[in-house]
Amino acid sequence: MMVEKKSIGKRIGLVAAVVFTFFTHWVVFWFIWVNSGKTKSEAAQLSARLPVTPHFLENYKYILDYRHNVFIRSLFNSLKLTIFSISILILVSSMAAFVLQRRPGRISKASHKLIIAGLIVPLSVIPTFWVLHLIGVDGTLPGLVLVEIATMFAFSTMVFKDFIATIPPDIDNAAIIDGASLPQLFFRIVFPLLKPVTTTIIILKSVEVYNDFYNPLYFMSGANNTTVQLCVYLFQSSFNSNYEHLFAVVCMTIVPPLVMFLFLNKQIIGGMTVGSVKG
Amino acid sequence: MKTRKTILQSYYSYWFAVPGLVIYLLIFVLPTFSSFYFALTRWDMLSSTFIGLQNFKTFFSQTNTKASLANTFIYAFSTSLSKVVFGMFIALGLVKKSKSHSYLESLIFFPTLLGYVVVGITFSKLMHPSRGLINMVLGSIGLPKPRWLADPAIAMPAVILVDFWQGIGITTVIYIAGLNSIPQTYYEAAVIDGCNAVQRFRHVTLPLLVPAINSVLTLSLIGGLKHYELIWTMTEGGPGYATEVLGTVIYKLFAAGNYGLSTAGYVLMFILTAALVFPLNTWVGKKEVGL
Amino acid sequence: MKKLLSVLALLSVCMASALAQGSKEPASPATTSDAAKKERRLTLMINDGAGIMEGIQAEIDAFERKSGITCEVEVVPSGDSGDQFTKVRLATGGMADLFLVLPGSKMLELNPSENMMDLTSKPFISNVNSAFVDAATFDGKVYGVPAVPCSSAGGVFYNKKIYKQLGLEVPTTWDAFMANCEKIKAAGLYPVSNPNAKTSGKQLTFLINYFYVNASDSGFPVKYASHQVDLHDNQNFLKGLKKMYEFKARGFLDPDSEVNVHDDAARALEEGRAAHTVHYTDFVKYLANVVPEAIGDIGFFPLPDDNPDVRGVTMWLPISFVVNKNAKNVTEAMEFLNFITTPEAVEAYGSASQFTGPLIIKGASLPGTIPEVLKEAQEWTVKSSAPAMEFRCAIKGSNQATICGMVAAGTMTPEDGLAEIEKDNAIDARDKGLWK
Repeated sequence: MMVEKKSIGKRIGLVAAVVFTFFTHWVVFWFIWVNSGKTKSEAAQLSARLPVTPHFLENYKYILDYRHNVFIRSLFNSLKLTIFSISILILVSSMAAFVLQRRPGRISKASHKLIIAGLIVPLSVIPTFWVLHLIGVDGTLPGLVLVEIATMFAFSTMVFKDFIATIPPDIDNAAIIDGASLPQLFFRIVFPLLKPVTTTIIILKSVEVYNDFYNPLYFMSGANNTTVQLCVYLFQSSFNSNYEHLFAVVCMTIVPPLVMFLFLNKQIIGGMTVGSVKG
Repeated sequence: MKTRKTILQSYYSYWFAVPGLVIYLLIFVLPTFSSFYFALTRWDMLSSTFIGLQNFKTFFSQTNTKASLANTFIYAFSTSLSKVVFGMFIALGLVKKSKSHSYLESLIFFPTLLGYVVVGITFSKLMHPSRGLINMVLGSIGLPKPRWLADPAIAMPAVILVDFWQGIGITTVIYIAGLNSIPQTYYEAAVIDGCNAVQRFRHVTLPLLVPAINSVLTLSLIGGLKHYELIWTMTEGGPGYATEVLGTVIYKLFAAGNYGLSTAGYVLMFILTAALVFPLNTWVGKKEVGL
Repeated sequence: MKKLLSVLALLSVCMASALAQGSKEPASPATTSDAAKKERRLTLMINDGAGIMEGIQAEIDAFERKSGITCEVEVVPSGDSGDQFTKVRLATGGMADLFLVLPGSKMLELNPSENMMDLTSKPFISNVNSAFVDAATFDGKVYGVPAVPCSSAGGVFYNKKIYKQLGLEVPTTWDAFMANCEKIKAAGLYPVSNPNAKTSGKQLTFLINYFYVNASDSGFPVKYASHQVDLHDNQNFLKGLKKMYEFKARGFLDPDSEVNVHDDAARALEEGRAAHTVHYTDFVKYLANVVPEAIGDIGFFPLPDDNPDVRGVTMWLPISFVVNKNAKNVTEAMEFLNFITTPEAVEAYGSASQFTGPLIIKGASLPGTIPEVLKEAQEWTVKSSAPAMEFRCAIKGSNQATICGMVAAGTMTPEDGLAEIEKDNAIDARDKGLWK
């Protein structure tokens, strides 16, 4: 990136930003965390004060024990769902984006329009369910995975396409002249260059799948197939007064995506040597 | 040139796109667009009766539809433009590798992880006119205490603000990815050519960021036109019709069991969004710099 | 990069193997040994209504212990998205043996003759209060049984301490009610604090006033459904809106009502900052949780009108269990329904959830430990009550809550409000095929 000495102005700006975000962000997080450790009646006041008697352990234990550890089962289900959906999504959408961006032609143009249209409409449950039923995967995890991939395909492909556009075709040509096949060109040369955008899509879409409430409900039924969002829902429906449990379960559910985000972000920031490839 | 094109065409085989496109078409596109048919029916999800375009007439005859159209545009354009513009500047500030920069980036992204329910509930409580934290702080330093979500004039800006707070992280992350894709060598060449920071931005960064801008603009505009869940959690479209958007109108119809009518609303939303987004996306796309 | 690719490949392999063994619902335990008795199962789908889910779960647990039948419970959203969810499940198959639906218009929407089993001849039907049975009967056939043993009575909750302090009497007419409010306002307190932020709270005064519609013309819903009359033909609809409007217009309404939810209203009432809340006995849940030690200070009286001799409460019937017409475990389902209409089940319910109103299971009675306010509501339900309109009439427009909210906030006059509601209802009636 730009090589510059840090000026005083920049330092001040940085400090100001950190202080500003203290008010805009940390206050909110504090509010959520602090209310997760209160008793029911105290939490119902929804103040920002510290709990009179801390009940953090009790509340968190309550969540874990609730309904024969439904939370842990749900966490496992959510993670399974996320990992499968995202990995296949990245694969099929990056491949599709590559060809659709590079190859001029009517199908490519039509696909582009279809992709944007797909971003606008929300999923329609009943017809989709019937299609899954035809294939025989309704109510199962593979069926839900297909639904997640299908609904995220438009976004993923569009973003990949836009970034592939910044990779000069000369790179392709050099590889083609060297005798590379399409898969070789894509997986060995182009895909590595997409690391920042791949990581970004992984982050954004993993959060979306993980936070998805309705699709698992409609497409993967059964008492044992709950996801993490259903747990959050159980504690917040219709403004039930158990705010302490709601905030506790929220604090617990955000841990996996947060860890993932911090980990993947390090990947982007550490070791970006894109420039060296473009000899 | 013609020979080159044909070589390209046969080399970039469509087979590569088939797995993704098949899943997309079969499981998303076909079912969803075929459900548009129900906009022409009276539907209770168990059986349907064809009635032609009547639902559209009825939809427009509702008192709140007009207000919702105006509000939808206001909400969508405010949230998307603010995210597109501010996101870029924040990303520019945060793209460096230092610890404090990545800390800020994580912090700004964090609200997205919370989900709209928690964010909606939390801010509703923070914005309570008499017992919410925000007004208590304002009151203690002698500032006026707006009634936030209870005030028809302020409710919409308040909701826009919360949406911005939650969504700016996504925009920033996409921009940072875009900035990280720009090869160092271009900047080095520009420095050698004697360009200063502003010129580097205009001639190197901005043109190469156009794909990211296009992504962000398209996505946040569509999101702004379509999303209503945060608004619903905070105000249910109120006070009165102050924050009523197309999404809340459609949701209420759905909740009341008027499924044909709400599907008609969806079709309408689709047409409006497509009419705005397709031309915009094409126009910005033309500015993408081919290298 | 290679690492990422190999991970992806590995995951694809895992996915393939998962697909190979992908199962739908957990399979019933395999009876590998012939000697093992065949395990009896029952599947139930329950909606998570605030505060009632625990009680229903307790009933199910008690049944499981008593009968030895394994109950698999799936919890799904309640409210409007819950309705949609139920319909989707019915339309796509995969519905449990037993599921929940409100009696009255909601049950009718699900096409009972097609989707539910006829329970008319079952012995346990006679254990249920007749008002409920009526609301669960269509074309002479009964389809449902209460899942929650209490109904909910709508009226006015008031702070007895404030009344004592200011020397006030329980009002028997609307004018007396308003006079009380004037005195309370003069004392620097909020006469009324209503939870008007959400759909579930905004319309209450209007809906609770339905008692007077019924008192003047009990046949109104039927005539309305066939479009022989409209809302303005019975003056009590407009009166209900006027009552709501008057709270605001005369400065009696807590200004925070527009952003207050049930907890906030309960707090205002119990802390003595407000004197009245118009609500139904479901409110007791919140009163018991928010400031439990103050619940003894709260009382109940029916929403008054012009005639002190014609006063009563509007009843909300609770959610009911129905049997899926295509249920797999029919015998077990009937055993369950038999159980939940007994006092034993009522006791189980009470061990986990609050009783929030008069009971509708015969032979069961509320424990003596219930708050005073519930006892008062119970008396009125027995004396003088009518089911809410939604249990007799399927017409309700999608914007009714919004319109009521505007009248309650004083931004729309009651006359305009009624016109809007009529217009909104007409759209719904036509869409449901009731009106032309």
